[in-house]
Amino acid sequence: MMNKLKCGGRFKSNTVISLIFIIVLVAFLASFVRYWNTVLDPRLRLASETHAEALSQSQTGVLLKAIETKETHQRNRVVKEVIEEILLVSDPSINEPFIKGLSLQVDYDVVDSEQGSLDFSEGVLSCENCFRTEVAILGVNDELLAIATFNITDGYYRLLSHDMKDELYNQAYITVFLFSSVWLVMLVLVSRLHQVNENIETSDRAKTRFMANVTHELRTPLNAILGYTQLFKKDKEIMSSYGKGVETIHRSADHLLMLINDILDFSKVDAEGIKLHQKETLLNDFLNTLMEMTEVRATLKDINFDCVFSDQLPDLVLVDEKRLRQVLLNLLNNAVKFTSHGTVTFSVSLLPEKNTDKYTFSNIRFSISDTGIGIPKSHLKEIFVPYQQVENKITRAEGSGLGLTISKNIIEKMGATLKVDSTLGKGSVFWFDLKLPLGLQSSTTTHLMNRNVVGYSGAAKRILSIDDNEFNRDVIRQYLNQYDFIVDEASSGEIGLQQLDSEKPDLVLLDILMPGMDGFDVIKQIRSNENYREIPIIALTAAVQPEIEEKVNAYGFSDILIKPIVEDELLDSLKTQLALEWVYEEKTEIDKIAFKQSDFTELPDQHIIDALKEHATKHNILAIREMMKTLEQESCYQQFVEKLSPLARNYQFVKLVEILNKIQT
Amino acid sequence: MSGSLLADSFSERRINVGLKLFRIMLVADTNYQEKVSDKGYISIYLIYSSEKSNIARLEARLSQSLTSLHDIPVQIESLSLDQYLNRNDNRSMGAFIAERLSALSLEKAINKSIFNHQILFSPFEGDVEAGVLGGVSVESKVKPFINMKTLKKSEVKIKNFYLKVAKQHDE
Repeated sequence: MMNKLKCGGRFKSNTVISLIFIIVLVAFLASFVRYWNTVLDPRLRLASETHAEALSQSQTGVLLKAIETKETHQRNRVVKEVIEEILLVSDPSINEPFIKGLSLQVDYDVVDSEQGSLDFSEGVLSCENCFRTEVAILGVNDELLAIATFNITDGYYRLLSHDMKDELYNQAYITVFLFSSVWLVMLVLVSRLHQVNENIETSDRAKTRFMANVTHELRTPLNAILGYTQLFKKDKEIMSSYGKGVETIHRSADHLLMLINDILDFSKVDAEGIKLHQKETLLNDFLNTLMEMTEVRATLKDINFDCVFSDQLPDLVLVDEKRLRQVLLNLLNNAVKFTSHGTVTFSVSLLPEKNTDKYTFSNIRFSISDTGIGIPKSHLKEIFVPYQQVENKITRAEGSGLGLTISKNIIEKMGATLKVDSTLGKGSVFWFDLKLPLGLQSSTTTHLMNRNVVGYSGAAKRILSIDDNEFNRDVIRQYLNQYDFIVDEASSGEIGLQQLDSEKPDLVLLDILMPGMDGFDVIKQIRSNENYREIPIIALTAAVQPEIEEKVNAYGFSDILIKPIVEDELLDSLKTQLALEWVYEEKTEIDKIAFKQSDFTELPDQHIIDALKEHATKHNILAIREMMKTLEQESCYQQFVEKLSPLARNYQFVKLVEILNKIQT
Repeated sequence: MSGSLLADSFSERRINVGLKLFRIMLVADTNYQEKVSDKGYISIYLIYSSEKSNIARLEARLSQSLTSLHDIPVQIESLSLDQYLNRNDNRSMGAFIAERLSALSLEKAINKSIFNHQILFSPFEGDVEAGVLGGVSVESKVKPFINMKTLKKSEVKIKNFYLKVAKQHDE
């Protein structure tokens, strides 16, 4: 089919080129004919006419002499002889007489001869192609003696016309030949270009397929890793013992996922293929996460990492969090990577905004500076050129070296410019100013994360999970068992179809890419059964190509979840598809801790609690940790630190503020 | 010299050829006898508009080649346009415009020639189309140029023979 289309495209462009050439050729030949008919032929005819006139004129002398013959009785004979002589004269080049016919009319009022005696009509008198000329024969005193009418041959015209036509034909043949050669060359070139284009397209499709397969294969195990870490994070026992480890695994896996996504971005080469998806983002949380991730790297390299976040930053902004994080992490990682001693400073500040915009937008400057090796001025422009920096000794240190290009493109996509200033040996500073729309404050308070779901109201729901990957099925089962769903598992599409009839599930979680029957084959079978036309079926896939998403919609899936599955997204989807009403946990352990103020043997001073509260409000995890570390050294605050540290560790800033508000020293 | 008959060699040639064709045309006039003056000669005018000095050469030239017509002596007289227009003499056989005239002056001269039934001849391009009876047609060969309407209006009788070799303007 594809080949047919390609052939069709090639045939179409060849036809268009041929058509253009034929039109131009016809126009050229038409102009040739027109040039002959309107310019050359009339000009040649006029020249021949003039030639005929001159020839006629030259004969008047002998005719005059004959007419003026003194002996009247001899005059008739002399005139006749002269006419005979004139009609005899031939041109060897055309091999025929110049003058084909001659007629003489004499004015007998002037010429003293018998009426009609000198009127001769000799030779061919009606000649269609001849040039007819009339010449006045004047006497010595300018009296008009006679009129001679000549029929001059068109031999000259024919001869010249023939020669000129030959020349024109030759030129036309040469032009047509050259034209046809160009035409042929064009067809061959276009054909080759098509071939090259087809090869590129084939190669591109192969590359895309390869990238899709690789990323799919990478995302699949990540689904299991992230699934389990999400489950572990909910387990308070595990978290109290291995919290930091679980967090690290989770963050690392999450980062790995981000890198995989970056590879996909690289495969798109330029920013054209990158689409921004804005969503409401808690700016402090977002920045703290970045800070945490960078701090680990900075600590490992034994360099300082300072964060300077303005107090005036908005809480909630609309931004493509994933893309902004990708850019900032790239810049922060580069800063750490190229700094062997000194400090990396991450500062985020609010720039003055016009009065009309300040309630709807925030102009925020993100800046990352370091005291690293710096970049020579001559290389500053090169670092953003795609593939250029691969050869750059500085950026080639590790990684693909394409991060800055991607970052620059993303920032440009966001409507800003990534700028850089650097001094060799002293360090660099990268910065950009983003004008971000402000989010609505209310939406943050109802986020699922802030409330623990423990189940749902109504009868237990049965869910069939069809996935060839055992770990993925296990993660799904463990997720769902927490909320009292009954989970049936099938390791293939065929088994899933059998279980559908035996188990009668309320919803199906269906993996797309499976050996044997894939997700599309399975849903086709399910939907063909009248009993399951309406059953909600959620597609699970690690393939992120847009065409998969389009196909999922076309095959009648109720929703699609991209692996690794995020628990909240799964719960949201289940709620929608099964019209569930969640049951939330009444009091969390943390709440209980907060309310038992008597448990604390001693509380820190009010100004310390106020400072902690302020840091928690600003989600400044580093400052909170610093304070906790100081308090931990005082044995009297051990209980206080032990109770509140888990909250800080889990970024439960809202709870932390709530508890601190209830503590009275 | 601007506007004069000797303005350039092309104009001069046209005038010289014009003089010859004018002579032939006068010969072809079949009513010549009606134009003979009481004193027994045929009167021909050379009309100028401003530069009288140049007209003498033409007058001398025409006098040399046109001493008589049909054995009747010819008298050649140079007149300014005003003199020509104001002269009440309808016996003159023809007038030759020796200097290009303005459209208005030409129109007056044409009307005067029609009124006097005389041949008005101009060697200048476009004058025949404007209504002058005779002129010069220069194409592949030089021919007399006749305005047939003026010929009819002026009632001048020209030999058919002459008309045959002439280019005719009918519009």
